[in-house]
Amino acid sequence: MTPTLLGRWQTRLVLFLVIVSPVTLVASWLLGKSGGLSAEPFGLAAAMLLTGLVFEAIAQQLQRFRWDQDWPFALFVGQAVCEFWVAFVAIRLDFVPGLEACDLARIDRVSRQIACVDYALPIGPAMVQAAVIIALSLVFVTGVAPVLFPRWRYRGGQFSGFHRRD
Amino acid sequence: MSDLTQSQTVIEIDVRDAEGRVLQRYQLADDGDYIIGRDREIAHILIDDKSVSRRHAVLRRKGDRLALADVGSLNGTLIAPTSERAGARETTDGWQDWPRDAYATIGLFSLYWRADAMIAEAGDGDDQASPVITTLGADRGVEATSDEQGAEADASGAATDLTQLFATTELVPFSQLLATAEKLDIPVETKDYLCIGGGMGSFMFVDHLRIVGVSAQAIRVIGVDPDPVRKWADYCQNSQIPAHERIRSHSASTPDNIWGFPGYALRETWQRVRAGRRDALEPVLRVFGEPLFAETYTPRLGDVLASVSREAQRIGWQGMVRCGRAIALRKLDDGRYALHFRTPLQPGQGEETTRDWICIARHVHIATGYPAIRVLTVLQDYRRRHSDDPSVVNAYEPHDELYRMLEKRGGTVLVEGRGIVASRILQRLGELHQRNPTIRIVHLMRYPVTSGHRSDLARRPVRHHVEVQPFNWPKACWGGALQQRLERADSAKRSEWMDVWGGTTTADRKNWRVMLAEGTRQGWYQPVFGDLIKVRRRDGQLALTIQPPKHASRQTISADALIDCTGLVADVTTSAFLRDLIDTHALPRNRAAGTGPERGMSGLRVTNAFEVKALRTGSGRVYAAGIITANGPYAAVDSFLGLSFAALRAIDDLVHSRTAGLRRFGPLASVRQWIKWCRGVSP
Ligand SMILES: Cc1cc2nc3c(=O)[nH]c(=O)nc-3n(C[C@H](O)[C@H](O)[C@H](O)COP(=O)(O)OP(=O)(O)OC[C@H]3O[C@@H](n4cnc5c(N)ncnc54)[C@H](O)[C@@H]3O)c2cc1C
Repeated sequence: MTPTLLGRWQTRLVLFLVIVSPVTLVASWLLGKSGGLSAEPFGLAAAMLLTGLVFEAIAQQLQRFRWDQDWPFALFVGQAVCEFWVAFVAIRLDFVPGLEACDLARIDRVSRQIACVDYALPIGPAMVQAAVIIALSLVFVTGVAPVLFPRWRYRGGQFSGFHRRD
Repeated sequence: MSDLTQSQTVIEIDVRDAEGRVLQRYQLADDGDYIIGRDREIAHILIDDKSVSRRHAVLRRKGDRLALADVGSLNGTLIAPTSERAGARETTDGWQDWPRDAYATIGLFSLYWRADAMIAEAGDGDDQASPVITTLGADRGVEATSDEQGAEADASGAATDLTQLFATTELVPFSQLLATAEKLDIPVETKDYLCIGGGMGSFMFVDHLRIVGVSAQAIRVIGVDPDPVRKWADYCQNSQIPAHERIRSHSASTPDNIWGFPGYALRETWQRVRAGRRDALEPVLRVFGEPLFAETYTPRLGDVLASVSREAQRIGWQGMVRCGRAIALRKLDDGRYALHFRTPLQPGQGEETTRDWICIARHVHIATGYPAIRVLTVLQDYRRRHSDDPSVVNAYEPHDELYRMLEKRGGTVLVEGRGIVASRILQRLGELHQRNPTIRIVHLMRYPVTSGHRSDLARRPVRHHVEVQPFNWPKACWGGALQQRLERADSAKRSEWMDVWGGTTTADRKNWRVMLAEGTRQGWYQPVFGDLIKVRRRDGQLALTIQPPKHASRQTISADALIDCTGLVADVTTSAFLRDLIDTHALPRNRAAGTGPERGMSGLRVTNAFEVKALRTGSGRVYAAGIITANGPYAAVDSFLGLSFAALRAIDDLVHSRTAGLRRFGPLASVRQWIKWCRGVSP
């Protein structure tokens, strides 16, 4: 694919609406205790979106080093995996406001520091959530978007504002 | 002006041919406008060659300065600096300054200020007698216009013949057209949409039209061949791409499917799954990893051909196409267009071999493809002398005989050119070498290439003196940042960038690279650099004289065969139909790009939505697509994906203009049509 920066961002927001939100809702319902919804999957999705918007800008600059100015699918997936880890670590380090990193903590006897026993965002479910999002996004981008929006592939992934009339 | 004549110095202009020889010298004795062209009647500076339009450009002298202006029918008038210092500036009114150290390109010719051209007096002693010298003084008429003769009309307003009626004016009265047609017994048909060409460009436009809801009855296609893929398939076959071989095209570049989904890779995977093959996933994995982790996926010729004929059947192509040659297109006075075309007659249908027709339509699409195969001048000369020598061929013409001959007898082949077709021919010759090791290949390229062009932060890679990229343009030219940049740029920037992004390139394929490396090591493949300047026959062999770059001394190579792979690039005015269209309606052309023969390939000027705006009349619209729009707002016009883009863009433009009564093709309609495509039912 040969996206423009606006195309990357616009596509990102559309993916958030049609793929990320429903998947997150399901994850939150599955992880929720006693029938309620769990907040952590939403925290992860939001953190991934924010990291993603920044990563897209960086990727766009790197893309300029490529003669074809393209960004192969493999790089998209690689990029998404990096975004996941950044978002995940940010949550674990308690960088994400409004989201507790730790569910259960104790004081380590040797270092006399607080250590987490049970994280609010366990790694297993987080990875599954991210993997499902990435796989479905790939399907959306390669197969669904071109059929729904036949002009999208000619516009660097933009839904509006690509062409200029003369 | 005339009282200035006495005191004015004379400016001398040399007309040089492609080889740089001075053919003519003109002395401009005074201020004023001088017409450059091919028409003896009107041109002051006469260049009698097909590459020059009848009225090509106007040269203006003012004091000791010169300027040039395009006059519509031109064929890429271009001022290029001879040194880096000098540059041409284009003023808003179409005049370009022509500084002394720049030259102007008129067709295949160049015009130069003569070195120390400012001489004291007209006709000052010049002992270099070879060029013809013409002095243009105050007596020549300024700004002559062609005296178009009016068609003879009888009392009913009918002209005595169609050509004459069309020659009268660029706006033909509808009533007069009908009267003439009736009198001459020419059938007239009326359609909403008329597509001229009938090749891939027409096919993709019609496919889009049908899918957005236009019925087959509203569309007429006029093409020399009723099969949309014929021309392309012939080019492929001649340039040694058999049906099982892969073409240079992307998986999602699907001329049979406007969405690009499912692409050819997915379809190939599906075929393999059904055949129970273990490597079934390879095509889609390739698309996933290309071009970083895998060689770019490209579909097989046979699969593409089959898919197009399936789609042609689905949309009812057979019923829309009529086999014929477009002769002339004119605006009617009621906001529509009339096309005069000729169809061949079946044997035994009468004296003449063709029949005239007229088709009237409000919306016209022109996609007539490559105007001609370009044959190098040296080869033309040779062919004129040895008309039936099968050992000197152009790669785009049928030449299978040559390979049979080589396989049997062996020998040295000179392959000229470095594009994708040259690679394919080299590969074919490499395969032949396996069977007959006495075959040697001499590969002639104009100059060595050690480092590729730069664009933005990237540099194009080079293999074996050829710049490589997966397709004929960087991928972002089809629908990315480069396309957007191009669409928003002015003509000068466009030609500058296209010069860098395009050019002669090939795809970086492993089999080709391995073969050349092996051939170099074993000595049966040898690259040489220079221009082929003479081809002769001597002692049963070809004697090829080559002028290496940078004025090194000439060398002569003996060979048994020569394959010219340098080009399909020909000027659009080689097509009689386009030439008439350009001349009659004074259509502007794009500024040409590049340094080689592609300079001649300046296309019709179109808007960002591919409309030929100069042909607009009332609610009527004319769109164009394909190589005939080269060097405009879109680089990759000559590719399936580019043609598909052009079709969608033109149709969206028609919707926007509200002249066609078409509805916007939105997501719901798109999904519905896609499902119909999958089920194989008519749109
Ligand atoms: C060897 C080769 C390989 C290629 N491989 C690829 C590839 O892999 N992928 C890709 O995307 N592109 C490829 N291309 C480019 C592709 O062929 C062109 O983009 C496409 O065919 C152009 O379509 P067109 O309609 O402009 O011209 P064409 O398909 O050539 O059709 C034009 C038609 O107009 C007809 N015509 C001309 N004048 C008149 C007239 N006066 N009246 C009536 N009819 C007329 C011609 O006879 C012709 O049939 C390749 C080209 C070549 C030569």
